[in-house]
Amino acid sequence: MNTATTVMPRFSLRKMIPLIGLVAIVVVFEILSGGKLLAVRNLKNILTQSYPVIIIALGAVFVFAHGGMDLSYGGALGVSMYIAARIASHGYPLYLVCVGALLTAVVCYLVNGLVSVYGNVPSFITSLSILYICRGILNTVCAHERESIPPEFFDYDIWSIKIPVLILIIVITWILFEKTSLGKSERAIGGNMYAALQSGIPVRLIKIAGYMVSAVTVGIASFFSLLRAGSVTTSTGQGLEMNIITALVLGGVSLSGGPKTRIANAILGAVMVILLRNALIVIGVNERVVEGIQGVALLLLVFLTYSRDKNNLLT
Amino acid sequence: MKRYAILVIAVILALTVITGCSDKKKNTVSQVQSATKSASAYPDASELPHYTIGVVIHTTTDFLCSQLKKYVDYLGENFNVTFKFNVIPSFADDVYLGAIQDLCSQGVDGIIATNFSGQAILQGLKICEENKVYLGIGFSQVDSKIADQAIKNPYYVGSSYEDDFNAGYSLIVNLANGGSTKIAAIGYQPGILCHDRRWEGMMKAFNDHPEITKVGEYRGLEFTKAVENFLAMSSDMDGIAITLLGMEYCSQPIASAGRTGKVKIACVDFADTSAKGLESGELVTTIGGQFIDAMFPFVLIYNKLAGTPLSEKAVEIPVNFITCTTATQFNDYMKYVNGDVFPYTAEEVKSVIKKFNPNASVETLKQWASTYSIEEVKTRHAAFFN
Repeated sequence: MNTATTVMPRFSLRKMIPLIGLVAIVVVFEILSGGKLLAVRNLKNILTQSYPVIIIALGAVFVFAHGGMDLSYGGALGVSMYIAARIASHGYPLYLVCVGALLTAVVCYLVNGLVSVYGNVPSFITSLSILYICRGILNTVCAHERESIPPEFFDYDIWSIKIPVLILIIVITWILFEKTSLGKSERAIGGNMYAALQSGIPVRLIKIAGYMVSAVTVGIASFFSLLRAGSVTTSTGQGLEMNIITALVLGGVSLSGGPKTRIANAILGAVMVILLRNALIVIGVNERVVEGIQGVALLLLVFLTYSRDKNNLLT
Repeated sequence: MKRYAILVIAVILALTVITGCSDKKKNTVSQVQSATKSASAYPDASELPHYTIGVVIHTTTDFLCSQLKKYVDYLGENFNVTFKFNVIPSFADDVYLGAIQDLCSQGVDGIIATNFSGQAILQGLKICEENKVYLGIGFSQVDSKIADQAIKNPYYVGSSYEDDFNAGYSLIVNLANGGSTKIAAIGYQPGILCHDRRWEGMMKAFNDHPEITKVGEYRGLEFTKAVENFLAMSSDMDGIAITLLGMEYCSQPIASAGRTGKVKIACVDFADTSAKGLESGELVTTIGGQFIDAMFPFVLIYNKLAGTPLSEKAVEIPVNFITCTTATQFNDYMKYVNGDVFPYTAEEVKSVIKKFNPNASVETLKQWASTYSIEEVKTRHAAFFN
């Protein structure tokens, strides 16, 4: 009997806090908004706005799980969108536009990963540099005119395409992260890199693979963001990196990585970050202070989920 | 743990309530109303149906946009319209689309999106059509590539915009007329149509006037640093043309470099310090007054909502800029245009609502926009100032 109880997974309220937070936001704001929050049109709005954040967060988990830090999302997305828009504006078919976005993101993340992993440069510094480089590129190429796609491409910005793609990405990343050696290795590296090395895990290769998964998700998000917005300007992607990091933290992903990182945390966090903002706006809170409230919520959640004995989040 | 959970919810709710309430505070417009109220030929606000109109804007606190907010809030009070402002953090297309979606979720009947441009307008219209919300655009002309498609959308009412190209052009020309020959050009970062057009105008003026030397150019967000760099780089620079708020960003660095009076400024956008700058000669030209712009899409949207559209098709309304080259002109602007009596009072605006005035027409609106000037407002509103 005793043995049976010891193998049962231990219920931890702390682990449930992100989910409780999500439910609390939905219940409280649904009441405060007089039913507007869960109205069909607003649910579509939330899904539209969280769509790229969910996709990118799903890939970001692979980098954060091994202890990496990535601040380049906004820049990489902007440049990927720009290249894709250039391809589209030259009359090439849709699939080539998608390939262009993917390849550009892969190049950005290959540089990001190689410099961080093989150059032993802290990933925080590398990704910040990539962000600045990408912003510089966008500021230069969009200096005179925004880059636009032909309006007929808007026809592909439809849920009958976007939903299956999202489900496919969730399934693939979940399998990769939870069921294959890639995900397990990423988490093992985040838990203890030296132990992972000694147990035969090709640490550098696994880290690069994590960056590549992230690149693919950024590429896909770029493609769909382009289909939605229709053009690229110097402001494209601005602030996205903060949304992704906030999503991961709100979802309960440890920024130092490790074995307890879960793919579901990314989805939960991405929905929460958009939902909280949307809920505040729907009930009429001034847009200027929404970010401030988001900051307070983030701080409180970190405080609640902070494990004092291990100096870590949700561990 | 329960304590913490309750604490989280309590803090968020408290902040929400506090900030939500603060947003509901309305500007005092009693002074304006008392100044303009007379025996009205049109229905009072209390007799009118209630509508909600969203405004997508980048700020409501600078000189231009605070006046714009004051004006639309005043119109709201007189038309029984609640304005919901969605202050956007950047000018990215997806930010605009998100703001439009958020306003639709809040249940607005119409939206005025300022500085909205590019292909994203078509996507914005798609969202508006799905939600049966009318869209009008301020400060920006719809791109000719998508104009035909946009106009076909029954929920697009039209746009109002200023001649930003010529405004930019005249900054350089007026600096040159004031004696400047070595001029630096500074502009807001690319991507916002009105600033892009001003920049193009400035560049065209440099090309057309080879006697003027362009000592440098900068487009970005760090305007003061750019001015400092130009001052350090060029000891004989004698003019700065900037697409926004010249006195705010240029005056102090010029003073710090000890070159006040030697380096002249020309800019778009009026500011509190414009009179001082014009008086001292530091500012040779300033162009602005575009807060009135928002009234035009408001009128188009209101007419649609009232079921008496001014036009079946979307309407484009070019609006005059106001140019001030002397302190007297600027003081007149502050008195007659930017004061308690707005350039077009609620009573006057009601005259272009077809439901109240069957003779109301787009032509009247266009005429208002094309004749907008300090002198015109001063003459038309002479009775208020006697």
